[in-house]
Amino acid sequence: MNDFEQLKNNWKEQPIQKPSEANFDRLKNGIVKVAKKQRMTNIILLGAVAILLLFFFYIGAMQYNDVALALGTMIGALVVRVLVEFFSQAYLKNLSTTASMQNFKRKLAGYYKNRIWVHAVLTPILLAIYSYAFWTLLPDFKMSLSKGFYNYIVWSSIVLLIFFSFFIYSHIRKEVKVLKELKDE
Amino acid sequence: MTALERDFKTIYEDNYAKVMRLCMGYASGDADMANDLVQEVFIKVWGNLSSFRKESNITTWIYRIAVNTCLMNLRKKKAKSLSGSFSSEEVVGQDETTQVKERQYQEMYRCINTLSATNKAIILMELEGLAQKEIAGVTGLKHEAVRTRIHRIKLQLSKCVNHE
Repeated sequence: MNDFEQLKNNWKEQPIQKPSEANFDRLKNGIVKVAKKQRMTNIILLGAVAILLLFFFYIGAMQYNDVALALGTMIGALVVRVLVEFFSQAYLKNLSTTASMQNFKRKLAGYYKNRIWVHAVLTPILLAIYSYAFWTLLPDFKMSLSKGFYNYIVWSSIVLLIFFSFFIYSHIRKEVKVLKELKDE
Repeated sequence: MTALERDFKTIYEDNYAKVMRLCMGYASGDADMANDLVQEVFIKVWGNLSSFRKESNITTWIYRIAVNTCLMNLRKKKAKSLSGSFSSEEVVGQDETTQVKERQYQEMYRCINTLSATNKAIILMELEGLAQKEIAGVTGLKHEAVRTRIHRIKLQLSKCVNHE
């Protein structure tokens, strides 16, 4: 018997349990959960955008024009990023898994290329816009907040910015790795 | 239970083991990850069942969903050591034959894991005994191309199990 035949025999002998009623019930619950999760995601997303818009109009109504502009820019950058993420996930979910593997792989590779662009180009631009808007707010913070709290805001923002940069970097690395795996023939 | 639900249950019971083995191959023997993948595969089967045209082979159709779902989840795959698939408690409580068998499974998963995503799908279906024509149907490659690849992958795997 050659090595591959041995491998084939081992393959078929793997101890795989037969599916039980409990397995099938878990699957049915999973199907219901997927639909619920999709509804919840849509509700949370719409709710978050509505709250941010209401907050913006509330600040705008107070006629602090520069503050309103800076906050509006920060909110705008966040909304754009959240929407891009939402549509990106929706695209992935709607990819037809009944297509042939070669077709599916091409579409999946396109998705990952797009994700790398989002992480490497769009997100840093949005982060820079967000940070600039935040920076323009600092004089107002300095005037209206205590020295300790002002310092806390400045330093925690720097720490968050560094953390976020590493987060983006790790995502790019992960997605480049998957793209490479998909392109390997 | 509707007729569609009854059909789905039959499909699930008939194909569970095949899909599980294929997912175990993609998950490098990680049973938890394979279970999640199997669940996702059958959720997609249910979602597409009403649009399934009976003139094509149901097994080919399920393999397409299974292979594509596994590809979609490449990102979630953890870089774990294969020995982590079996807990030390399990190993201590097992007789020697079972331990030898499990070492063989680990070795088998390690070698399958060295293949590219496409070759992995091809060989996992070949190991399941799927006809080359059906493998071509799942992958979208030509029958001749599948035959050549299988020959090459068999050599590659044989070398790997012999540590050449």
